Formats: sequence, structure tokens, C-alpha cells
Amino acid sequence: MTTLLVVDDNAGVRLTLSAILEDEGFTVNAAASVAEGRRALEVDGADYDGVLLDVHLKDGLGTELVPLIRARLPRAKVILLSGSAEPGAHPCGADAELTKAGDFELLIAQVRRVLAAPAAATSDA
Amino acid sequence: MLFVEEAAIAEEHLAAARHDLRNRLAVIRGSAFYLRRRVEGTDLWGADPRMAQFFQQMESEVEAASTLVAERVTVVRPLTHVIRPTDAAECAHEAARAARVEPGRRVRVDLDVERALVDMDATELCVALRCLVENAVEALEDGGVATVTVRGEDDEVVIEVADAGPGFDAGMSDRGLEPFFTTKAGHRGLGLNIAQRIGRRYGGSFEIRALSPGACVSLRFAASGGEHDDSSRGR
Repeated sequence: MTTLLVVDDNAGVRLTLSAILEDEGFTVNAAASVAEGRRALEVDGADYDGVLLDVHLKDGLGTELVPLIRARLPRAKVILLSGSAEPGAHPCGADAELTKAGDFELLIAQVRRVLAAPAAATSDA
Repeated sequence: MLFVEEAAIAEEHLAAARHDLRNRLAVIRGSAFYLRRRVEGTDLWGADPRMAQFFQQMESEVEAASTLVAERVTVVRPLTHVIRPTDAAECAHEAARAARVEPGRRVRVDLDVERALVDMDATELCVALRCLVENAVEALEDGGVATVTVRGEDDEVVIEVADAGPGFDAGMSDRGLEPFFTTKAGHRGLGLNIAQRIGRRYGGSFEIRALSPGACVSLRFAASGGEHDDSSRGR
């Protein structure tokens, strides 16, 4: 079972992304802020295959969680979610940056591709 | 007020609206996608051929709206930002002068330093501080004073805007940062959001804390190692 953490401060985005990814067979947890995301990552037994991070959150930047994810879950893939991702741009140590405002079929395919890529060798988004 | 500051505020409003609209359109698009997959192939889908048409219509309208938002932003973006050593103390004074302040309320600027240089676009820093000052003044009762403090702290410049208003209820400080959220009639609810976004754009931190009474919003930036150019505000 592939488990994902979605961190986004927009309740509608959390609901739709979680529902769509669950429909695809993923197990999804959601967090609404940097603080909630940090708690989800630090709780005993936390184990995610991928973390989808909105960049601009109310209490900070989603990218603030990247060092914690790398330290606690070195095999987890980090995917930044933005309104309009530039292809190929993987800022702040993330494995990919994807747009959440585009085609969801494409988004699902991109998430699967990033999760399947070997660690530290992800190059497609 | 300088035209460039009005234009910068308009630009920030537009950026906030663009971000908010993108999120809302993504939610509509995602909802339509999820629902379509759930009903496609069911009896309902087969019984009414307009179902597919309606979903197609939702998707194409969202696509058109997304394109429209992106095009409008590109067309009206008028300003070029210039990052240079900027005096936060000078911007604090300018923000206090430019802010809309109702009669009977005041703004005081307290400087712990003569100059507090940060590497920012001066107009953007002034806009951020003006938003914070106006937000603080609006929280005051008649006779109240909002205070802007600028100080150096280690290698950082800290700017604080405090008021003795009712402060934030539990959970409201988070909501106050949402674009277009306001509890004040006739307001657009963007002041805190704009200041926070400008702060982050330059690697600064943004914090809201409760006072008794009131609230204090602080912006914290790395101090600049450069020289201040006094002619930089003449644009």
C-alpha cells in the first residue's frame, strides 16, 4: 500500500486531491498547515512513500518541511504543488514540482512516475 | 501617495486574486474529475446523454477561466522591482505618512536604530508596512495609537507594528492571513496577506502575536551588508 501525505491549506484542494488519489488506490493523510504537516511527520510510526506539499501555506512555506522529510523518511518522494509549475523546476530539494491547477489525469500519471523513480534520480515532472 | 505604491498595491491585490482564483478553479476541476469518474459507466450516465456534455462544459469553462486569469495578469503587470539596500526605518516613516488614518487615531514610529538596511525593493517594503499600519489603525478605538518599531537584532532587522485593539480571537490570526477574509465591513481583507507575501518573497519571517490588549505583527529580515542609496525612493 502506497501512503501519501498531502499538505495544503485549502480545504477544497485537500478534499479533491485526497479523494482522487484514494480512488487511485493510494492511502492518503492530509494536513492543513506547516505545523500540522510537521506533526504528521513526527508522530511515532509515520511512514509515507510521498509527500505532496503546497508551496504557500498560511503559517509558512511547504518547503520548510523538506529537511524534516529527508531526515525522517529518506526514501519518501517530495512533490511540490503549485498553481503553475515550471516544467523541470525542482526547487528546495524536492523531487518534482507539479501543478494542481491542470489536468488531473496528467497529475496522477506524474505522481506515479515520481514515486516509481529511484531515489535521488527523479528527473521528470 | 506615490503612483508606484498605488500600482504596487494593485499588483498585490491582483496576485492575491490570481492565487485565490487558481485554487478555486483547481477545486472545481478536481471535483468535476472525481464525479465524472464516479458516474461514468453507471445507469445514470447511460440514461442521460447530457451528463457527458455537462461535464465537458464544466471542464472547458474552467480551462477558459484559467487562461483568462493568466492572460489578464500578464497584461496588467506594470512594475519592475529593484532589489537594493533599502532603509526599513525610512519606509516605516513613509508608511506611517501614507497610511489612511481616521481622525482621532495616530501612528507613532519608534526607531532603535538610525538606519536599518535590508535588501528589498523599497516600494514593496513600504507597501507591506503600510498594509500593516492600516490594519493596526483600523483595530484601534478613537484616541488609540498604533506603534511601528524598527530595531536591529543580531544580523537581522525587525519591524513590528502593534495596536491595542481587540486582537485576534483563537484561530482568527490564521484566518486573517487568508486573502479576502475580513471581519470589517467595506474592507477587502488583503492587508495581512499582502504583507506576509511580500515578506516571504524576500526571505523574511512573518509573525502575529497577541498583546494584552491588542496584537503585534512582526516582519524580520536579514540585514543588508550594502550601502544605502538615498536617490532610490525617487521613482
